[in-house]
Amino acid sequence: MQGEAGIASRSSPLGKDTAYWGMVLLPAVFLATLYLVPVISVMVRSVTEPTLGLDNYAVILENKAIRNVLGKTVYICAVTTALTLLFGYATAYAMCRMPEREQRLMFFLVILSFWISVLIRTFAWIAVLQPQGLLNDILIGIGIIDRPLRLVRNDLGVIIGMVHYMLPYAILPLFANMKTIDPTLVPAARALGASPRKAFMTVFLPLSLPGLAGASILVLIFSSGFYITPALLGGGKVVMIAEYISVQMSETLKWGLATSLATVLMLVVLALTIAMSRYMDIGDTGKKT
Amino acid sequence: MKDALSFEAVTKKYGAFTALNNVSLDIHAGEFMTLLGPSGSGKTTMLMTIGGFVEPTAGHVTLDGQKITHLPPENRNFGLVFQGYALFPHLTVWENVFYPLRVRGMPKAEAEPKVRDVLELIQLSHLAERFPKQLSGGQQQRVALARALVFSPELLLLDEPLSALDRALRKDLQRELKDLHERVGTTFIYVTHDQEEALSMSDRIAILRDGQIEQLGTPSQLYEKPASIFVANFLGKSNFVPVHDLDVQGADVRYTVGQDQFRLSRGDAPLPQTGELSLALRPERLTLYRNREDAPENYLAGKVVKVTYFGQLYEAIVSTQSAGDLLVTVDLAHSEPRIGDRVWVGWAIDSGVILAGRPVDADDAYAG
Amino acid sequence: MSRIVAWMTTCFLVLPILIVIPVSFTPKRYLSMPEGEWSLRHYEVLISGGWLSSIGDSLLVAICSALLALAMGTLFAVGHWRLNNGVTRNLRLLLLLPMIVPPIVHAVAFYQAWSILDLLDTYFGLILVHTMKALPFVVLSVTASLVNLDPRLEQASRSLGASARQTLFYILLPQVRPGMLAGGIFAFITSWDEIIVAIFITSRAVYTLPKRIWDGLFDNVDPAIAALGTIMIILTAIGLLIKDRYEKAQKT
Repeated sequence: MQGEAGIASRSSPLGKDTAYWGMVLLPAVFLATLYLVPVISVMVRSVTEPTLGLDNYAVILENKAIRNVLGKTVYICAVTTALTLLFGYATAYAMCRMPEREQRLMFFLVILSFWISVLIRTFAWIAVLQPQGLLNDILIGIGIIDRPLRLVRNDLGVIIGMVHYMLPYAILPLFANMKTIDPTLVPAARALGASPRKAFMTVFLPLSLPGLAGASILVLIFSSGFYITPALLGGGKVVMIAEYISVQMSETLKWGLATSLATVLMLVVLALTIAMSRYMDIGDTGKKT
Repeated sequence: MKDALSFEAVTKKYGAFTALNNVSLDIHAGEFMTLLGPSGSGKTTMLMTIGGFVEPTAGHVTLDGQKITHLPPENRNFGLVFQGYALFPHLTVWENVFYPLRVRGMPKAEAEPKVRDVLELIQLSHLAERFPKQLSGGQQQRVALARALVFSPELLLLDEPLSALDRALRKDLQRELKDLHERVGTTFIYVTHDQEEALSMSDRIAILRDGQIEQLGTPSQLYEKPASIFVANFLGKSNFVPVHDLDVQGADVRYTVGQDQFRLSRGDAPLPQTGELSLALRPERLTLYRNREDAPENYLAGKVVKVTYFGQLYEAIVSTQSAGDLLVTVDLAHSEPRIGDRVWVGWAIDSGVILAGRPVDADDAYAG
Repeated sequence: MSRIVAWMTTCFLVLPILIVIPVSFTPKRYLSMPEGEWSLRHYEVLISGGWLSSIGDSLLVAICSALLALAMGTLFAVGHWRLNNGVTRNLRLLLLLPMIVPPIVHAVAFYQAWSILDLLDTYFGLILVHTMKALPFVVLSVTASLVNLDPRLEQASRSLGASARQTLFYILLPQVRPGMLAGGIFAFITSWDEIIVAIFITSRAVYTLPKRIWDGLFDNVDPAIAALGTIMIILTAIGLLIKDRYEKAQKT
């Protein structure tokens, strides 16, 4: 009978459902005009300014400064993603096996960190890492060093800030994914003679790979377009693509360059998103590869 | 009798799949019509078309002569009782029943007595302030009924309303529904796959199969005079005895089973013309005799191979030479048949219907 | 072993944020720890004109965009739930787009577009952008609420005589209240915290809190930001605890 009821609810044509079409179309038209048009015009402008054609993209490929920025972006994103997933995976894994109260506490702390605004978080890192900041004060005070460490305005500072921001975005999905892995599988492997390490490597790890892949892509997506933290902690010395674009917009007014870089970034992110949707739900009803 | 609703040559296709194939049906005002059939036969699609949730690919639905095929559900004034009751979980029983009157803009003074009356009708006045999840299945069912009746609909559509309930409760509610129908007088269109339910409650039954009406008639018409093996199989149990060489003699027809010839007094029931033929014989129309002299005009020799005890009766399977295994109902007035007994299986000359074809499962001479 | 790493990671996550709290009490005018002397001067600054007006701007924009996003997002989610065909599924991808596209791209797009439409540095302009950015969250949230809703409730309501509008308000919306609440909160926070687009499309007339913080972070890092941060940490912690209690109560 299930099938019949399902058929019945699928069938009515436009006439009876005008109200519902209205509900769907209102927001869609709103977005199509006020959102899609501006975004698409970015792409259009990238091939029309200053002249018609793919000049801007040629510049991107040839200009040394821009290539450096892109290279730096890729480098930092790669390192950030690697570190985030390493520590994030370990954390999620530990959370799965913790007693409930400890798990809830850790979960609460991770979520708390997740909800704090990126500005406050970056501010906190500035307070900690700057030459006259907390960390250096403590280290100098204890006598470990006598000159402040350079922890901001370099790759290290940016990476620290980014990893800190990205960790919850890795821990939460990884944890959710690991919870779905049957907890009796690893003990079963152990009972069959596998050492703890082997059981983990041959049973748990493979099962968690889709979640790991999904989380990695998610972190990569957020890192590539990240503006705030790298701009603040990079202090102008470490320039990633988002900051470079903003400079073209606000200072050099090279709109052709700004829009073409934005287009490249957007297309990369869209490609990554499509890749990610094979591993993770973006709210659709469970698509599996 | 006045026609309340007419279903005229309705076809419904979903892509390549045909759910309803040129179906026509006239439903009389005030009757209890059941749409009976197996899963996928189209009965729910038919009900949903009447209700206005499914648009036919072709054909019309007419109410009192007016075409309502494209009228949206909220304008049809039909009551609909769903399988899962679909009670609004955030509203109390009272608010649920009041809902149809509220959306019609009926003033409270006029609506309240109606709600009270219908709650009394289903005997749930004392639960008016409860929420659906606080009620039992049977009570929820009654609230769904009350809600569908409170606005005095022209038609009440019921989509397998009792299938989620256990057997004892189902029987009680079947009786209550039938009572309700008699008291209220509204036309009921009832969908079910349970043939016992259909037989006990309906004024008329339409048996559906693969999107078409296989047979339409009163319960006894369908039971006693099935038009096809499918219908005979679907309603109750039946034996199918292979017969050949029909010899029509007025109101009687002689038929041959194996080597023996028997007589059927069939009245004016139509006879299939060609092809393989079967005689549908209900198990309760067969009687076991220990002596051949006691047997009526039609009888076959056989040996009891299986006996099942059902409390009120026995079912015996008797193996015969020319008719295969026959299922026979034996009531307690007769002595218990035992495996190995050599018996005579007899049936009256007005028992049985000759149908075209043979049952699909070759080794099931009987079915149920 | 992994447990140690996990707790180290968690400390790494939380401790720097907590630094903000003592810093907010420093008596000095620059970022420093309060050594012995604790002062509320930076909290007092928050109640002064500048910060207060930014709080007001942020509140106005956040509330308006949250309400707009809630209205449109809920309508879409309900319509899609009911119709669920190829067209609406593709439209849903459109609705989720603002969540996928990097914020800097939004900044470029809307800076361009709003300068043409003369919406730069206006409340309306910012509210529009924030509404669009919040829509995906509302859609996802309300959709999650709808997943377990029996479609026959909608059919029952229609069969009983209710129009689509009546069905929406009397039957469907009450069922998705949790989703709407969560979506509304997400929408509010999305707007409240939004910085990148605000940097580019607002300047003087509209001065949201994140923008003020951002400017403050560049010049002389103002400890008032620490005070603000402390308040936000406390509010967030309280909010999460309330949510926890609420969810526990719902389960019983």
